[in-house]
Amino acid sequence: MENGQENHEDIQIEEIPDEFQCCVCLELLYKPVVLGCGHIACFWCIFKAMNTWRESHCPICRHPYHHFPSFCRLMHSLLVKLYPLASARRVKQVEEEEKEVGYFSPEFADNLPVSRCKTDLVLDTASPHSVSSQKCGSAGEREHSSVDVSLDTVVPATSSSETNKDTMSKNLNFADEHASASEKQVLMTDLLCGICKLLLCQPVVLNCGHVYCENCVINPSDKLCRCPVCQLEHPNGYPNICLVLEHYLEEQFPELYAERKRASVGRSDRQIPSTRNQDEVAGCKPLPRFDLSAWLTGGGPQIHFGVGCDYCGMCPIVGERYKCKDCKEKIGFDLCEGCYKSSSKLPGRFNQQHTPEHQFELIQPLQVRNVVLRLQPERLEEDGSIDLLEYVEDSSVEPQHMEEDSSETNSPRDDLRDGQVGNISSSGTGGDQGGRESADRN
Amino acid sequence: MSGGIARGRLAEERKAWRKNHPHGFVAKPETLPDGSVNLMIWHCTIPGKAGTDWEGGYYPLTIHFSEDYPSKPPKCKFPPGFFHPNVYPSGTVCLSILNEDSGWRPAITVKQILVGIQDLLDQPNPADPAQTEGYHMFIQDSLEYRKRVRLQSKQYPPLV
Repeated sequence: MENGQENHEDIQIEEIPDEFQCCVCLELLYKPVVLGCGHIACFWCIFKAMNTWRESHCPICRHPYHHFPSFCRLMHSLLVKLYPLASARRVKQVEEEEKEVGYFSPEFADNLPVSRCKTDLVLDTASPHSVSSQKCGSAGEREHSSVDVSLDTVVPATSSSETNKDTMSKNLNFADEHASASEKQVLMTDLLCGICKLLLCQPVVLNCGHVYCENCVINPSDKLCRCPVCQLEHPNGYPNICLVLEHYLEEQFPELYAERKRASVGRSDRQIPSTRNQDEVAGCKPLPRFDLSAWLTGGGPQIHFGVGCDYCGMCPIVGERYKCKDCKEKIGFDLCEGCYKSSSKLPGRFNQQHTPEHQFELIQPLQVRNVVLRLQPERLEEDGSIDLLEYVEDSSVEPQHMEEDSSETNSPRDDLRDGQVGNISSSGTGGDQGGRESADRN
Repeated sequence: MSGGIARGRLAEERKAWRKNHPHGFVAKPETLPDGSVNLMIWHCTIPGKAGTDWEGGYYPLTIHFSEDYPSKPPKCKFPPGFFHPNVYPSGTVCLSILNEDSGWRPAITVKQILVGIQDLLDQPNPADPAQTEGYHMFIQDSLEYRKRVRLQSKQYPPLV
């Protein structure tokens, strides 16, 4: 219940254009993640909307995906710069929610450890000084002037041992005060490709959250797309162009962008024959398909329901699952087989304090024959797989409804249930009243 | 993470609706006797499309949102017994975009739902019948069907 105070708190906030609104929460995008199809939503909105049982679908286009992307820092810092007030409010709002549930989204300053940075390719183009010193800065320096906030030039970056929240709020305040003075000017240097060091052209955002020109990062002869900074492979074919970002570039730098695009047209025809036809071209790992019947009969791959990999974001983990024994965070720390065996040393997706010294254990997935045991509540809680109960119940009735499962049906069962409960008789008149009141107002 | 965003999202939807909504439509969260607002149930009105047999009717629709919204679609209900091939006897609307497994996407807004249902009124989907009466009449006797639709439109006059 809400006491009609819907509008009170956000009188002071900038008007957010539709394209920068999250399609799920309808608020300013916060720590945006970009899916392979090029669509954007908030970190937590995607996380909550993901299906932890099987592949998930884009909230905008239903494009299937299986990996929770890292958030896109370039977009994030752009939005913080454009809408400092709304961002500050979102920071506060999300921090409260996080404290309440005990899960935390990544902070950016320590998201990219120094050791992972390749001197030439770090996406550190945000701060003007780093552009001039591109070739001579050490990896360490780079790290601190990374994309996050181009305000780094003024607010010295704190070492990652300091609390990042402080840094962030400092930056926000700064942005706040100077927003009008600088007229929120976004510099081209905030929006450069980490590979060609020019203004992004037809930007694609990889699963790791890094942004490049489509032409720079996609090399059809490789058949897969690997991030030059963090070496992570982009799963499920090539990423699509992030149209929201492209549109912004077009609007902000019309001439320059048009020029960039002209220059790249010839190349793109040659280089990327059919990005649309991704599945064939990118002969990389197909999405592991979840097959309920295979799982029920005990065949098929191991699937760790409700658990995601902290490096590549695969969720649920298919194949072997390695769980960190030393991470104390509520959300835990898990890796899929591929990431466990790789030499990657990335931080967790939820700000876990995982270090390379931590020990892992191999976890067996839930098998159908164990399900009965799992009906004991304690056991369920232990694994965070409470949904299983519901799911198994559902699946046991499912076959009856297979025929009705054509394109357009709400579950008839629901309807039946309604009929039994009896309908809310006041709904009709309630609608009338609502109508009148609303008509009065308008 | 269990903290739902349903209410926040619905508050935003309400805001967007007040700013702009299609002509003739009404969508308003339920107001309780004590004056507080229940964002989880919305009372809406869908006008029949001009130039169709549904014209002139202002059909009341109740939308029930769950705590899982927008991950899961809301349930949309006309009054029980509503005459339409794709409306269950209880009044629940059967439409692909309201089905989690086929067409629902969290990006779909209340506005799109209402416009989608308005379209469905005059373009029933015979592949997915939800009530016997409306379906059979639609298939077998289109004259009688249209008569019945026009009759129903008179049962739901404008609210002014």
